[in-house]
Amino acid sequence: MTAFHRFRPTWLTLAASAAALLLAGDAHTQGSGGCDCADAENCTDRPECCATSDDAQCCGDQTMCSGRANQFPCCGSGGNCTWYAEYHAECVWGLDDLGCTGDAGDWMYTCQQRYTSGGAVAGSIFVVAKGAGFPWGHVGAVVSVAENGDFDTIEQDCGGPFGTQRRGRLADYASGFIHVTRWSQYLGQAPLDDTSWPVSTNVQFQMTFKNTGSSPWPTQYALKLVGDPGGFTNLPVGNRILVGAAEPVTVPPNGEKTFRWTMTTPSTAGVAQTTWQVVDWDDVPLGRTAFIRIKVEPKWGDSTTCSPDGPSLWCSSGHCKDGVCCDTECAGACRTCKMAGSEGICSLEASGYADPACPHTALCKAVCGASGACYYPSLSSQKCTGCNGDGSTYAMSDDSRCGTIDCDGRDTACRNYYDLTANRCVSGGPVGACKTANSSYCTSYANNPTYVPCRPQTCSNGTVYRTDYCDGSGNCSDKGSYACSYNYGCNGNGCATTCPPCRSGYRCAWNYSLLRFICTQ
Amino acid sequence: MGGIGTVPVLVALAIAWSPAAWAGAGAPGSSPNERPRPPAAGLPGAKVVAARSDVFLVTPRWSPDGEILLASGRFGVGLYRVPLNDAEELEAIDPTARVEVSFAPDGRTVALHFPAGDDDFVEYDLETRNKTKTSRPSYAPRLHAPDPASTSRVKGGRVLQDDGQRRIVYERKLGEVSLLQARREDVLIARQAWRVALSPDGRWLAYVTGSIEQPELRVSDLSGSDRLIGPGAYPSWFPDSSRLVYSVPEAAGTTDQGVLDHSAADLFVYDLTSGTSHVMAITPDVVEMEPAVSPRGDWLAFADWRSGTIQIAPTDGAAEPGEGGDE
Repeated sequence: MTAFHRFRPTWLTLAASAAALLLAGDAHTQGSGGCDCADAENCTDRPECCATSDDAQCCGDQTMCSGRANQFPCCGSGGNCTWYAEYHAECVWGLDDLGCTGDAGDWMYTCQQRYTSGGAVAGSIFVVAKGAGFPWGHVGAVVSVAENGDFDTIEQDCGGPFGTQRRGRLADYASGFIHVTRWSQYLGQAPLDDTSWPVSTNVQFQMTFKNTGSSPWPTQYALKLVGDPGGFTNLPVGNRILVGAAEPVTVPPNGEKTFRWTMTTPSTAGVAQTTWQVVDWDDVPLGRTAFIRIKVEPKWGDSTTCSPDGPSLWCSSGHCKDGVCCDTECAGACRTCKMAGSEGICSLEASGYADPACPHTALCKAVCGASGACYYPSLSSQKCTGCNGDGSTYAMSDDSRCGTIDCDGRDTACRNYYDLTANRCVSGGPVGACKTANSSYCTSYANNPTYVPCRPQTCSNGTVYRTDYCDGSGNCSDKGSYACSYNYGCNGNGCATTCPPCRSGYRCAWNYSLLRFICTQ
Repeated sequence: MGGIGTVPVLVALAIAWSPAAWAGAGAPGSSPNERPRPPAAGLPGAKVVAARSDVFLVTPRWSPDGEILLASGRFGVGLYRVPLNDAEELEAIDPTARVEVSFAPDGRTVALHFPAGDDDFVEYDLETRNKTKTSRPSYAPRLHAPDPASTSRVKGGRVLQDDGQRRIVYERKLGEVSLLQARREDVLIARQAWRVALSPDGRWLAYVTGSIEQPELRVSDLSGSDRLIGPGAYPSWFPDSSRLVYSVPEAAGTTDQGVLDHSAADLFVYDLTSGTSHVMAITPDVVEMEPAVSPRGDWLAFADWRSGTIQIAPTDGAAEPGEGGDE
């Protein structure tokens, strides 16, 4: 018995100890446990005071600890089981309003939400149904419980004896128990009942409960599987989920706790149900059971329609691809599970198929190659631009579609630029273009040899400028000039042999000594 | 389990206690801790017959023929058939209900009385395992339910004995036992008695008063003469009505959950003739509670409230469980 070593004094044991003092006296004159029960203040917050003959009016005091009126009457015996049970629930156990109405035996119905016919629990109100010997039923506070379900009570009785009594009761004495200090209320669950799940599948469950008792739930309390696991496997350790499983926090009165756990659905189809209950660390139930029921259905075979693509609980293979269950993951582009005639079997897409699964951009659109790889055809709309494997673009260094890039426009008399037939693309950047003709991209040339005239002879105003020749380095070398004899003017590219013409500022005149016309000033 | 077939001779440790020596005359409140205890000694031949890690067993009950042993689960919830030989396993008759159990005279059927009402019964056939919902069967405890308008002081209760001439009624609310005969009503037990066991010969009433935590055992005859045995609870009569076995628990603490936590409990035998008690076993590691003497008096079953097991022992200390001749 694990509880054996867990004795600690608590309010419950203190209440029991205080009540135990009653046993020291005769049943009809049980003492006040040391309090001055003649003091009206003591009477309102010490139930044991009601047991003395001097303060029978305590029971008649209808005001509860919260100031709320006790709705049950006081009998001439100085007690009433219903009066005292409501009093004990509020003033000793701290529940604001028990909310039970009617005769004692009716409490199993009027407090139905807190009522259970299970075993006795300390911190509860026992209820005896109406019947033989119990014309109105009976209720009282359960202060402690033995291992066999026998329990000790504090109670009053409208029919006497006088005042509050501490009594031992057998396990089968009560019809049931209204839980006060420790109780839970089911609030909700996920997944919802009757939802469908595939066989042999891990499913995450959750149930939410509210602490409707007057004491907090420590981290060791748990949600426990009750009864048959319903075919589920991989149950939580010990078939329970501790309050503090996820985080070490307690659940205060009126607080809510969501328990989360995972189980594997049964391997065969059908309805699978598990029943759960909040329990303390001794497995004492703290509330009604709540169940989760799901429909378990077979998994789907290959080629069955599924959605969405990706890992699939429903497909037997675990894979949903192209909207059907697929025999393999069939991951990547240029693979399909919907090939006509081979649905459900992962196949390569037909060569040339523009698979959207291939990385692509507006510019780079891939197609599938024969090996199942994405292939990017040359871009027809964009010279000098290629596609990377991820659909991005890069600038090519050469593209035959650029043709011959003409560089003749850059030629000189002494230098001949070559046209571009390679490296015809502008490099750098994600998108390329053909180099411009006769641009600075034209960088390769050959210089003319020195015998190649680069400027013809000319004559101007009686000066002859000699023919210039290339210097071999691409430059045109100036060969100089000379003046025409006798200041003659030019005749074509050379000097005149007579005059006129004369150089500017000269006139043609006969020279008797030279016996020819010459130009003089 | 076959009967042993011999007149049971209880092998008790040779230590006798008089009630006065136990508790001091007129000092019913004395703690069992205060009295001297003999050295530790186990119950001869005791054997665990039902131990399951997932079921905490309490409250053994014999069938009328002593062939079947039932037990409840912890806190009285659940009903199980306890195996009496190694070939059997613990059988869950109802693992979740809290029921009061009554055996039919033939011992082959039990009535499970659910606590919701006086007539909420299910009969369970121990052989076929069939369950049948029914009203109160004739072998279940009868109810005394006089006309509410009658002037009788006893307004209701359970009939412990009714021979046609007189009726013994246990009124559970007040814990009183009354003897009703002709026009006369005698209160045999005026104290709050929460466990009343009528001796097989119908002449004695063993009963427990006080709290579950600190119980006191008393024996009364039908004239109302009353003896305080001392601290103790859960009396079980031998068939000859000369002796009874009972538990004496050490004072209990209480867990955070309000569960009584007994540090120890031992079994004693009270002899009506001599007026003395003999200790049967001093076992610090076993919390022997709820002894149940088999109908033939040859076996004693009890619950260990520490381990949650049911154990049985021959009352003559000689036989091995599962052995035994026959009458």
